[in-house]
Amino acid sequence: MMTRLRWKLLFGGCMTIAGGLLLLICNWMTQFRNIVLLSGALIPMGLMLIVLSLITTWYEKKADVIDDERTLKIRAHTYMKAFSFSITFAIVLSVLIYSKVLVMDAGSAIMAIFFTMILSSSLLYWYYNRQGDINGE
Amino acid sequence: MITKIKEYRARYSLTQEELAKKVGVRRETIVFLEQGKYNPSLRLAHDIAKALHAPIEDLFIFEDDEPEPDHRVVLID
Repeated sequence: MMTRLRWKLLFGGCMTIAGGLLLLICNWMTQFRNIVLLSGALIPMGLMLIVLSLITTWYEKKADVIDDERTLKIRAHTYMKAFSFSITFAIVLSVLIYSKVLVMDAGSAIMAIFFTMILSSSLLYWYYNRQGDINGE
Repeated sequence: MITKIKEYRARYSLTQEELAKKVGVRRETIVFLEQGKYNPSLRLAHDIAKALHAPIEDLFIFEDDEPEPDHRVVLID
């Protein structure tokens, strides 16, 4: 549990620092105005990740929640399915963009894929956890 | 899958929480095991059998298990 917390804190910290650095760089390089938007998104996302992971860890510690074989199995299966789903979504999205059915810039497409991955993994984890197993009878 | 964990647990007056702590899993895992919704690993099945002092084959029964063939020899005059 602590290793996962460390990774989340590290990731959140890196995102916040990267956002801050980009904001500093942006003052020097006036031609990259989009950096303000990027850093404006990175800093709150990083801070939110840190706060959420701290709250989740505190709650899990308080409720004495441990990762057992069932939750680890569900998590692994969930991530695998969410990744496959996101890859399929990315392929469909790129086909739609290249055939000019959908007009979308690269940044928005990446964000859409990223959110699809997060949403599908959350939904699948909730579903499998409710079923009890990945092949619930 | 049908399990007799609940019966054995009652025999030793163990709560789901206590059994979960004994075998190192979440209470929900014991709940799903008792409902027959979760297929445990051999390690977990062994740990539960050990905690409940019962043979594994008594605790976990698969519905598609074929009945043991009758190998008795009948002598006919």
